[in-house]
Amino acid sequence: MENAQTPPPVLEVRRLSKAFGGLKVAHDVSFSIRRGELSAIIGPNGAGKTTLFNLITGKLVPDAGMVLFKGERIDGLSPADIARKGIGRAFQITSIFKERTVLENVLISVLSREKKTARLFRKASGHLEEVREAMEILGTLSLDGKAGEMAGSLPHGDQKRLDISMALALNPELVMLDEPMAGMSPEERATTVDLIRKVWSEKALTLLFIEHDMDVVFGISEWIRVLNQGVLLAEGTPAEISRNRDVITAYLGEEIVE
Amino acid sequence: MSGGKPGAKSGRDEWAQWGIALVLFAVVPLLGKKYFVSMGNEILVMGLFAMGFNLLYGVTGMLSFGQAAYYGVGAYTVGLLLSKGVAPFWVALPATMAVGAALALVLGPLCIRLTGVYFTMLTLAFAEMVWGIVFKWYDFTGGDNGIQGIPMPEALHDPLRYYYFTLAVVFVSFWLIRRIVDSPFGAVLQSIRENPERAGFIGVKVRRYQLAAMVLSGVFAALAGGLFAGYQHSIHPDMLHWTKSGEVILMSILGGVSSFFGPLMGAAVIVFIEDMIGKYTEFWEIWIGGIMLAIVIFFPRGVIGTSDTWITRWRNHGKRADTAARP
Amino acid sequence: MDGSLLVAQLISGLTSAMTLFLVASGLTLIFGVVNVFNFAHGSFYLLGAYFAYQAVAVSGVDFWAGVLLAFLGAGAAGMVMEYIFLRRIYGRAGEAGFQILLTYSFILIIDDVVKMIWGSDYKSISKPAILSGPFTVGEVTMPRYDLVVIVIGLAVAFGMWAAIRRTRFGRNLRAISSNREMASSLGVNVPLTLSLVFGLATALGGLSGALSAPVRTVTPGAGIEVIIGSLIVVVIGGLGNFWGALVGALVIGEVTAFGILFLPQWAILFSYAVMALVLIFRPEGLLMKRGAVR
Repeated sequence: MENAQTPPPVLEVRRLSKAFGGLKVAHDVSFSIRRGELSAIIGPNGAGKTTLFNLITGKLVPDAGMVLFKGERIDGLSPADIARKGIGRAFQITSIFKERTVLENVLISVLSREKKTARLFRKASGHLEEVREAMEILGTLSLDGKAGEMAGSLPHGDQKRLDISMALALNPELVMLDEPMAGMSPEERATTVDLIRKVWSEKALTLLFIEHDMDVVFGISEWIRVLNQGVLLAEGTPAEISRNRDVITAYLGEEIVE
Repeated sequence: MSGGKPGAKSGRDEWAQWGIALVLFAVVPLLGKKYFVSMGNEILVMGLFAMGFNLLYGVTGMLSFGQAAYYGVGAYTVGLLLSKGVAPFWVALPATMAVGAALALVLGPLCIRLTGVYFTMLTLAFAEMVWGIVFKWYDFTGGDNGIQGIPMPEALHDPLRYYYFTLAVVFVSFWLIRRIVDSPFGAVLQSIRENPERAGFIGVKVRRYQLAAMVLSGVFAALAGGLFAGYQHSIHPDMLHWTKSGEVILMSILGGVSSFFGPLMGAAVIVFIEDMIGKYTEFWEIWIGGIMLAIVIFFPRGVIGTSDTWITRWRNHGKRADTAARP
Repeated sequence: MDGSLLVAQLISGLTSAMTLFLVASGLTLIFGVVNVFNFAHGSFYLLGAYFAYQAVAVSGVDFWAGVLLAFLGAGAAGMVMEYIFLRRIYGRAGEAGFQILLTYSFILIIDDVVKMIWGSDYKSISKPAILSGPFTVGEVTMPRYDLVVIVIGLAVAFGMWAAIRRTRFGRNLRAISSNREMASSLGVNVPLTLSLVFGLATALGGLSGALSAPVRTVTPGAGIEVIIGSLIVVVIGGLGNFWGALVGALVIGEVTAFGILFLPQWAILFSYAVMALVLIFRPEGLLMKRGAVR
C-alpha cells in the first residue's frame, strides 16, 4: 500500500495573482485538485471565478504564481496547447459554432484531438471512426437525436450541453465547466446533473465546475472551494463549507442550502 | 460537410450551378465572337482570383486587402520567366504558384500579428510595398512600363485554345477548393471564422491555420495572375495596385461569400460593368464605389447571397421554423 | 556629411512627422471614440489639399483663410459621410468588415469626384510670401514654413490632449469610448458627439493636406499613401494611443528623412522595416504595455 512516489495532483495552483489596473482579480490563490475529484468553485458575483478559469486554461497570463497540470507548468501556454495537454473547458456564455450542425461541432473537436485537421482532401464527414465517436459523445449527453440540427437553433439548455460535449470530445483528464446549469429549467438541471455525474464516473474524470445553484453544488460535489474578491476564502467538504462563518458572511443576503 | 451557414447553398446546389456554368462557359465562345472569348477569359481569371480570396475571407473570415500582391507577383513570375527565356510556360505556371506561397509565408506572419481592421490594413500596406518595389525596379521589372510581348508556347497561341485551357484550370481549381473546404482542414478554417476563441480551446493553433489559409489563397491568386499574363501577353504594375485587391473583394461580396460560385458570378458582373463603363467614361471608380456602397448598405449578404436567402426562405416556408434561414 | 545637412534632415523629418501626426491623430481619435477605422481618412487629407488649392490658387483667397476653409470643408465632408452612411452600419454583425468596404467605396468616389472637378494633373500652390524664406537661428537654417507647420502640429497635439483631459467634451469622448450605452444613459448626446468627433478628425486630416499642399504637389494618389503612412504610424506608436500617434509619426518622419539620404528611391522601405520589427517584437506598439496583444 505504500507509494514510493505519490503522483502529483491533477491540477495545482500556486500563489496565483492577477490584477487589471488597480483591480486585483486573483490574489495569491493556491489549491490543488486530486485525481478523480468532483469539486465546485463558488462565490458571489464578481468573485473572480471565471477569471480563475481563464488563468488556468491560458486565456489570461498570471502576473505571479504558477499553474501545474500533472506536475508540469502550464501557465503562460496558449489555450490550444493547454487543451491538448488534457484540459477541456466549457463556457459560461455558451461558446459553440452556431452555424454548424451539432454533430459537426463535436466532430471538429474530435478531429482536432486526433490531429487530423491538417487533412485537406478527404471530406470531414467521411471520417467514419471519428463520426461514430462524436455520436457516442453526443449520446452521453442525450444530444444524439439532434445531431443534424444547426447548433444555433438549439434551445439554450441543449447548447450548453453541446458546449460540454465539445470539451469532452478532447478526452480530457480535467474537465472545467463554467456554470453548466446557467439558464436551464429545473428539469433540465436535474437531467444535466445526472448526465454530468454519469460521465464523470464512467470516464474517471476529474471535474471542476463553477456554479451558483447551491442545490447542485451541495448535491454532487465532494469538495467545495469558495472564492471572494479574488481570494480563496475557504475550502472543504460541503458540510464544512455550509458551516463556515466567512463563507456565510460573504454570501450575506443569499441563501445557502444545506 | 456543406457550408453550414444559413442561406448558403447546399453542396448539391452549388455543384449544379457549377455544372450549368461549365456548360455555358464551354459553349458560348463557340458562337464565334472574339469578344466572348476575351471577356470569358477575363471573367474566368478574375473568378479564380476571387475564389482564392474567398477561401481567405468567406471561409476563414480574414479580410485581406492585399491579394493583388500575389496576383501581380504571379503574373510577373510568368511574364519575367517567359520574356527572359528562363523557363517555358508549363514550368512557369507551377513556379508561380510556388512563388505565391513563398510570398504568403513572408508577409503572412507579419500581417497575422494583428487582428481585425489592423490585419486588413497591414495586408494593404505590405501589398503597397510590393507594388512599390515592382514599380520602381525598372531594370528588373520594366518599372511603370511593364513588359509587353510575352512569348507563349505554340499550343496555346490561339486565343480559343488558351480560353479552354484557362477554363480547365479554373474548374479544376474550384473542385480543389471545394474539397479543401469540405475537409477537416476546411472545417477548422470555418470554425476560426465563426469563433476563433473556441477553436483555440479545442486545441486548434489558430495562427497556423490562418497562415495556411493565406498561403492557399496566395497560391490561387498567383495562378490567376499567371493565367492573366498568358492571356494578355503582357504585365504591368497596375496588376499589383491596391484597387485590384479591392476589385476582387467587391466581386466576392457582390456574388456572396458563402459559396465559391458567388465570386465567379461577381467576377462576371464586375468585368462586364467595367467594360461597359470603360466605353463611356474614364471615371469608373465612382461607379464601382457606388455599387460597393449600395451592396454594403442594402445587400450585406451579396446580391446572390441575398437572393439565396429569399429562395431558401421560400423553400422552407412550412418547414420547422428552426431550420429556416436566419438573417 | 556635415552637421548642417543632418540638422536640415532632422527638421525636414520633424515637419513631415507633424503632417503625419495630424492625420494619424484623427484616425486614432475616430478609432478610439467612434470605433471605426476610417480607411478613407486619406481622402479627407486629399480634400483638404484640393480645397486649399481651389481657395488659394484659383480664387485668390489668403493662404491662411484657405487653410481654414480646407479644415472646415474636410470636417463637413467627414460629418456628411458619417451621418448619412456610416451610421447605418453601426452595430451590424461583422461591422468591421462593412466599415472597411464602406470607407473603401468612399475612397473611390472621392477620388473620382476630385478628378472630375480638378483633373488628374499635378496641382501646386505657393507658400505665403512671408513664409517662403529661411529662418536662421545661430548655425541652424530651416524653411520658415516648416517652422510654422511644426508649431501648428505641436499646438494641435497639446490642444487635443488638453481638450480630452480637461473639457466636458473630452470627458464625453472618454465615456463614449469605454461604453457607449452607459454614456448615453448618463445624458451624453452620443450620435451628435460621434458626428462631431468624426468631423473634427477629418478636419485635422484636411488641415494636414492643406498645409502639405505648398510643399508637395497635389495629386489624387496622395490619399492612399497617407492612409498607409498613418497606419504605419499607429502600428508603431500603439493602436488607439494618442501619444503613440505622435511618437510613431516622429519615428517615421525621421526614419524617412534620413532614409532619403542613403537610398533616395527606396526610403519608404525603411518605414516598412521599422513596422515589421515592431510587429515581430512589440505588436502592441511602442507605447503600450507588453502583452496587450496576445
